[in-house]
Amino acid sequence: MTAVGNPACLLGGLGLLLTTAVVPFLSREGQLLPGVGREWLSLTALSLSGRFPGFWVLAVLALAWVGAGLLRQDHPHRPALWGGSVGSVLVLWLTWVAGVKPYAFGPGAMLALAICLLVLAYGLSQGGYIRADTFVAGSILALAFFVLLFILFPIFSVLRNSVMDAGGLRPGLLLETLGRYTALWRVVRNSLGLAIFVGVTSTLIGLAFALAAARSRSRLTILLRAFSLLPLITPPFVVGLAIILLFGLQGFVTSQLLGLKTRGIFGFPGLALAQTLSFAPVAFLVIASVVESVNPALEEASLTLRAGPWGTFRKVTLPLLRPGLANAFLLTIIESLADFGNPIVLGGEFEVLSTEIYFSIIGRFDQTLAATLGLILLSFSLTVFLLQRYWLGERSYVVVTGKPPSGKPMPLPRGLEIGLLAFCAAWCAFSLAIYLFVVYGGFVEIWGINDAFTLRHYRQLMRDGMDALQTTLILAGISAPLTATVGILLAYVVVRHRFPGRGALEFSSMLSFAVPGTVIGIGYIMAFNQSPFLLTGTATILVISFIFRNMPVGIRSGVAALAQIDQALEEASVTLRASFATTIRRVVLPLIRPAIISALVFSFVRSVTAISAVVFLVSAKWQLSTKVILDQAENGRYGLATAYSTVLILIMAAAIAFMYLVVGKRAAAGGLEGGGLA
Amino acid sequence: MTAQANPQAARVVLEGVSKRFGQTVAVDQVSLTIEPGELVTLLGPSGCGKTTTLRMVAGLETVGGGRIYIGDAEVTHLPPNARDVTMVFQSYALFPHLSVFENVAYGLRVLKRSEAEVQKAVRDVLELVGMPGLEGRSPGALSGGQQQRVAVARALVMQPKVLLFDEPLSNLDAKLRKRMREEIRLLQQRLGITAIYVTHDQAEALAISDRIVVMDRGRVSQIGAPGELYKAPGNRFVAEFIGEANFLPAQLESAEDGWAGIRIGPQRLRVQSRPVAVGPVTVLARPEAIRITAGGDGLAGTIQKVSYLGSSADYTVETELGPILVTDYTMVGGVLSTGTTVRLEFLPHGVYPLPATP
Ligand SMILES: Nc1ncnc2c1ncn2[C@@H]1O[C@H](COP(=O)(O)OP(=O)(O)O)[C@@H](O)[C@H]1O
Ligand SMILES: [Mg+2]
Repeated sequence: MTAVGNPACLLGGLGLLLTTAVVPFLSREGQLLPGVGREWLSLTALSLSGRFPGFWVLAVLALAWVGAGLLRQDHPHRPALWGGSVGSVLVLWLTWVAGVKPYAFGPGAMLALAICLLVLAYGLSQGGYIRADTFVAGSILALAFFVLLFILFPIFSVLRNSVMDAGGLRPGLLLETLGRYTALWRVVRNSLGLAIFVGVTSTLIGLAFALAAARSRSRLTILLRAFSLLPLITPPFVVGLAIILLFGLQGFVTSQLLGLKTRGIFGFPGLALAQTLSFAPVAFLVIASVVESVNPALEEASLTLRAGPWGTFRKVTLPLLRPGLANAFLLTIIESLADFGNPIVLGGEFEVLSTEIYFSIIGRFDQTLAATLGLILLSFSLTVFLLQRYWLGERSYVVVTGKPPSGKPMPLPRGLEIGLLAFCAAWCAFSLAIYLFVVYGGFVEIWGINDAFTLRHYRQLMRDGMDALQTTLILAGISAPLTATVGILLAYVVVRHRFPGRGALEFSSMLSFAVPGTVIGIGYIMAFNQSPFLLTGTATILVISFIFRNMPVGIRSGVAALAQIDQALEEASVTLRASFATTIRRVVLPLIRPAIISALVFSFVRSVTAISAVVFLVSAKWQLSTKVILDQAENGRYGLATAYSTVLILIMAAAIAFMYLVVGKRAAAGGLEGGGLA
Repeated sequence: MTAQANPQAARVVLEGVSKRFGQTVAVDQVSLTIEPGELVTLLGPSGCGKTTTLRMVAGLETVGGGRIYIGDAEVTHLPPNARDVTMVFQSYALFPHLSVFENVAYGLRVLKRSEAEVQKAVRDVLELVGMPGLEGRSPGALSGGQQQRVAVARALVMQPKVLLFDEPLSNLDAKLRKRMREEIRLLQQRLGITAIYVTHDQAEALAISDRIVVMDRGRVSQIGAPGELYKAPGNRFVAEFIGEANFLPAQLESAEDGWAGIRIGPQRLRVQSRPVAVGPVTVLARPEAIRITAGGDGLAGTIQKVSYLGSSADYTVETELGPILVTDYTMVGGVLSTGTTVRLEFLPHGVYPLPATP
């Protein structure tokens, strides 16, 4: 068959030609655009071609595309495919070699890359490599590029910094660094021991809650569900601060009730308590979904086979929950290893990996050590993550979660039910006390020393904390729609399309579940504080870190929502001549609206509460609330820290209440799962 | 055929089209030409690759090998929205968030037709499928049959070059299914549209097709008009899949162009045949073309099993050639009981020597 001309190549070629001629390929570090005039012109691809002949190749490619665009040809996708691949790689390579101090990537590089990827997308869709149009192929390429740049490249940078210093690449550096870091074994033992301990306690408590919530006929169960929301609206230091207020040197329980003067809560006991409080709700969510999916017929069968309620519970129900328990255990371990907020305020002398990474950068200015410790932490988290994926068989997002089986679930044995309810009620009361103490702490002059009521902290907050709060809300507000877009688009292409590299894309995007925030944080500094990708100190990097840290929220919501939609609807739309973009706009989006809203709200909430990654990325100009709280808490100014936390809790409770109002309970609960598990 | 000449109707050609999913070969070297205005059915058991073939024509599945042409153009790698092909889905796939009217109007709106044009085309096509007056309803509020009509209307309104059906009736009850298939056929003939229709129901295929493509494990087993496939199946699979069949060992004694003299048990008869070598053969004997007699010199047997079906009775008769299924539509002698010894007479129009299969 013949095709007359090749519009994609023609347009791409002309665009690329224009870009190379007049758009600055590079710009000065820290600036978006070079100054108009001589500097502008000296930084276009064409001007740079004197020093870097590679730019000539780019111009030749553009001309070749124009040529191909005008000619009749049998296979219009071929020049697009080849040119697009070569061009994309070339642009990246040129950015790398030419973007050296004091220059970094500029608008021309971005534009040229976008053009090459678009033409490549056209080639892929027309060549039948992706059963969709240029829009979908382009989305896939763009997502792949972003995942590479903002998830894999930072991780790679951590790896690189652990074996490379000013003296160049030295694999021995890793051992050398570890050799001079004498605390290594203690820190590793602390981290792993704490994670396993918290894994066990959280799983047990989660199990108790899940059984009580799913199987008890008591009204109390509604309370248990609400309990699952707590960690979502909890800023990172709240639990830690409350524990200090309760059990610290001036603690309400320790000092006032018992008359002790002890710092004993700092370290393992406080951390274990704080993390269990923080992560038991996550375990609860995981186990509850498994409890609900147990087919009641199995238990009924056991009862008809003469097993009593206890026997059935022990021999049928519990074994069926085993995968859920394992899953909750492993997830909690990942969370505990990654936790930064609790150890930083409660750790005391008890060092863990995440805080040691922080202190290597902030205190010792030792990037190599930070990278090495980051690598160790990452390898633990990834091991557990892979265990969870492959051992428990939760291989991909694209596991359609089956409908809960119908039928009435078996009630718990009476004694067990009462015991569980009593325990859960007590635990809820304790959790509640935590929050009350945090709120209360904001109104007290100096905790434990001067108990007079005061609004001083709130006044100070109004004076000093508003900038950071505003920045936080604005940046979280900007990143929420972007996160939802990226996450849901990724869910869409991964669930609905088959293309080479789909598995890899899915896996890499899932990595952000597993990579601890501190590791991503140092990865971002190492990857983006130097040419050609210079971003540190900007608001952009904060937004980007929000997007790629929270992307799994969007993905989870998107996958769950898409699983509910018959794919034939989209197929009907495209056979009715709609493009894929139109199909998404007119069919998919209206049908997954609740998922979009919950993704928006949860990514907003998670951005507001983020600390572990952004603690490395904030700057004097772009300060975030959580970092302000951290600074206050580190200096023992608990009044201001708790006042600030209270304000954040209120904001997030409002956001979540808004979501419940807009999308209703079911969708909100779906999003909750996404938010809680991510 | 009775189809009017429809200038839109296009020829569809599949040239050695293949598709695999991992290790499974779903479609294997399917070649096929569908003439303009023809309704061709892809028939075969579940999993034989019918849907996959159809979806490759629609562009919803990448083509693993071979080429597809619609009209004069190769469309092998074209995305579905560039093909001018519409499809009626098994689940109907009506957009739940749009009214009946907007469902049907969807494609026209995508093409940015004028409002007046959309209004007229949608009302006309809803009239055509016998669904006037329900434009404002939501699809969820319609019965299965009505949803089916809306789905057909939505596909028709685009005046596609080819109309595809993927088991469109499988979600309807038996009575409605029969009526809908007649309506679909009438509509298709009246409009002279090229149509490809997928079903696993042989009765449906026989009733509505110009030609049937019988598929077996991803391959084309036989292509032919309904009568041809029933009377002269090319192989045992086709014979078995379309209608009921007995396979009996027989002796081919003479063959001349188009006819064969064969002997089944004691009976000699002259039947239509494609060229087959003299010697032992397997013959297909349709159960309704075997007469049960009390005496005579037919094949002797004993009735083993009786199923009374109202308008007919099915007998399993044990004979020296093995068990033979006989369907009696006359039941002149009443229903026979098990244990009765009978004679079987084969009627030439229902007996066909099968070509030796490799
Ligand atoms: N998306 C898919 N992934 C993997 N295997 C598939 C897919 N679609 C179909 N198959 C397999 O291809 C074969 C043919 O399927 P299909 O065309 O749906 O058959 P039919 O429509 O005739 O029932 C079956 O074995 C089926 O399991
Ligand atoms: Mg099918």
